[in-house]
Amino acid sequence: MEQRHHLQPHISSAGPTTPFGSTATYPHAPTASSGHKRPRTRGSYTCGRCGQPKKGHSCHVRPADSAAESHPDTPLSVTRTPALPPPPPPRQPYSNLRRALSFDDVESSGYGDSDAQDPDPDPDLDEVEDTEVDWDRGWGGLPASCLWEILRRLPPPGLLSAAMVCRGWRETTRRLWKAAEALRLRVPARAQVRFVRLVLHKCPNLVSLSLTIESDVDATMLECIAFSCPNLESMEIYISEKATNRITGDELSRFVADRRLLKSLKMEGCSNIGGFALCSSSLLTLWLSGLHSLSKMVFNCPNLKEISIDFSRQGNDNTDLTTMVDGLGRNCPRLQNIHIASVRLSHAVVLALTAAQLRDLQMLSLVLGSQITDASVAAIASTYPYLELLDLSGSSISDSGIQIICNVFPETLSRLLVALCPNITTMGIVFATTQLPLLELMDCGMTICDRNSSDPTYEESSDFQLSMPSKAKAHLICQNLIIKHGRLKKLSLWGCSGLDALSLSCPELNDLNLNSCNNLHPERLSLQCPNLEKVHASGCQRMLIGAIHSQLNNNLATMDSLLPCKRLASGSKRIRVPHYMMEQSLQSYEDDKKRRRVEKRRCNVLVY
Amino acid sequence: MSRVFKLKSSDNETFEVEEAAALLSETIKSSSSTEITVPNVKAEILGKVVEWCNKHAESEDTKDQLIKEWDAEFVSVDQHVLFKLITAADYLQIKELVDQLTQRVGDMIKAKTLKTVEMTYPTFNVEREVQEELKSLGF
Repeated sequence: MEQRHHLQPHISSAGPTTPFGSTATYPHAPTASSGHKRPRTRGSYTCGRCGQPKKGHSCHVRPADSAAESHPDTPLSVTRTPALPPPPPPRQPYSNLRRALSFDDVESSGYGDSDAQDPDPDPDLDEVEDTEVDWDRGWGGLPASCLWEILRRLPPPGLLSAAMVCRGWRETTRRLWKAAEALRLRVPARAQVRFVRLVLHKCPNLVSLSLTIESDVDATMLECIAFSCPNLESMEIYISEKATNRITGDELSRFVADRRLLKSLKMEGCSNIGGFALCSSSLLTLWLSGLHSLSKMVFNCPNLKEISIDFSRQGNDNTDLTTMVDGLGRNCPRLQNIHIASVRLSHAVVLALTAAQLRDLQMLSLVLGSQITDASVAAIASTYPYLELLDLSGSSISDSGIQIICNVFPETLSRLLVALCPNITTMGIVFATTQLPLLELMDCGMTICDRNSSDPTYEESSDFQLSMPSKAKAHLICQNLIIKHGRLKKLSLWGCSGLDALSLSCPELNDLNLNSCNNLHPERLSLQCPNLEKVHASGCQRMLIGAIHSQLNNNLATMDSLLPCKRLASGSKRIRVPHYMMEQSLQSYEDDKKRRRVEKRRCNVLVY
Repeated sequence: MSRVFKLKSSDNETFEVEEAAALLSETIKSSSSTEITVPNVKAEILGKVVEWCNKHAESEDTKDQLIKEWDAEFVSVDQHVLFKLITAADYLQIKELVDQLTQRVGDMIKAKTLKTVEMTYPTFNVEREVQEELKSLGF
């Protein structure tokens, strides 16, 4: 699951979306007649089958619909983000109900879409709800806004069940669907475009859509989305490994050009996109991954801020990256975040990038380019001295390149990623940590590798899945890494099989990745990081994992000694109890300690 | 000098609440007087709401683990009580309390399939016809 986001997290603030796992069976929901208990304030002729008022309705209740294959597993996740809950139910009937699009061939139409059945709604509805108010009883007294609050916390399968409980609930769920602005949907293999269409029909005000598709997808999906979601601003299409994304560049270009409001587009598995001409003045974010060879690339998106172009690592890639970067530079002057992953990255491409003079550039990530050298670093540093993130994983830069980085970027750089750079040594890493005070994230995966291991097995770090095998390198075995940094939050040393000893003193460190550090000696490990929340130790030896645990426990213990102490000349420690420490502050100290213990007891050591 | 607010329940019991706790309620905040009658809320429920407000007024940091545990216990009450609490909190417009209570109900519903929802929440007005229809469909 992580691979599709392997290069994204450090660019975008949005976390990876995960498909929703639960299944739902769509209930047939014959609409109930209003209860015989409730007083009817006017007479109405009701349909014998479904109990709805006869006026203007078409009965959708079919006698024994088979519940067999027509119920796809439909895990949905709907997040409703309306700014406010709706006002109390209006007295007048709903005036803007649309007729449903009819799908005669849909055998599973028993979704019970009450929209389709109620073109002329029962005006009794709201009055009945209000007359039911009886504050001393149970359900009847719940105000509609509270019911909204309750139901909006249900996941979509729960919503669909809730819609069947009673009329009031059905109405509320219907309004919830209508108010839905964001939808995350997993489309299983059996479901087809029309299923997506049916769901999208429930929420016409959708602003953000995220689809995880498990079957092949083509332009009909785009058409469906285009038709159903006129207000769409953000679209993401994730595709499972076994499926193929057949959308072509032309189809995508047409889609983008027609969407006046589209701000963000993310798509995976773009194997059939051979070229495109994207013209959009609204587009701000563009992520395309799984690309094969691109011929024509036109980026006519003057407001584009973030771009991520990820080429899949397979043979015949003839993309002219230099021209592409050139085009980007000319047409998208507002770019802030650039991410390009391709083995064809080279110094020429970097030069094209620096020639572009992108004034707002903050995050630059050029990965997998083994032809990127220290000279490229120099070029980048001279043109863009204010970068916040620099990712040159998989390149050939060396410690000199790190030196250049440390000379130019100390005031802005907070994230440095140099995984899979075989020419970097512990000296470079330590230098970076001492010279970059704002550093919060550092990834040095697979840099310090044991010369004895010919094909080191590497584990995927939580962030990256770069499948380049590391070259066996002639390197000293005893590699000692000492890092002291006041701000470092995340450090990754995955696959550093040449690492022998590690000493970390980072008070803010939350996440440490030591996957596959096979040669790290347990007794030469020192972790002075009280805020550590996660340690990844997959592929490590047992004793090392034990050592990690004991280091973490020591950290908890040392927190107790918060009293100031002074080391005297004789070497003994005298603890000086400040005279202000009265009864109550001792008490609050005790409470504080208890509280902190409750909060901080969990640091997870993850061994997958 | 903090003011003291008086909240009166529907069965004429009065609760005195300190300013800090009382101002957690938007209704009280925007009210001109310090004596507020809460209609349709009995003393037992109003008392619980006052207790919640007092607890939340005294500790600022709502992310505190201890408060969270207290809150979790607070909302694990009978469903009838829960609904009355929601109604009261909604009237008094105490957003966080409403959030916690509705979250609790949402969780309770989520945890059950439709069938058990019918069984354990008889106060939900499930129509007989609907029940029979559902049974015939195999729910």
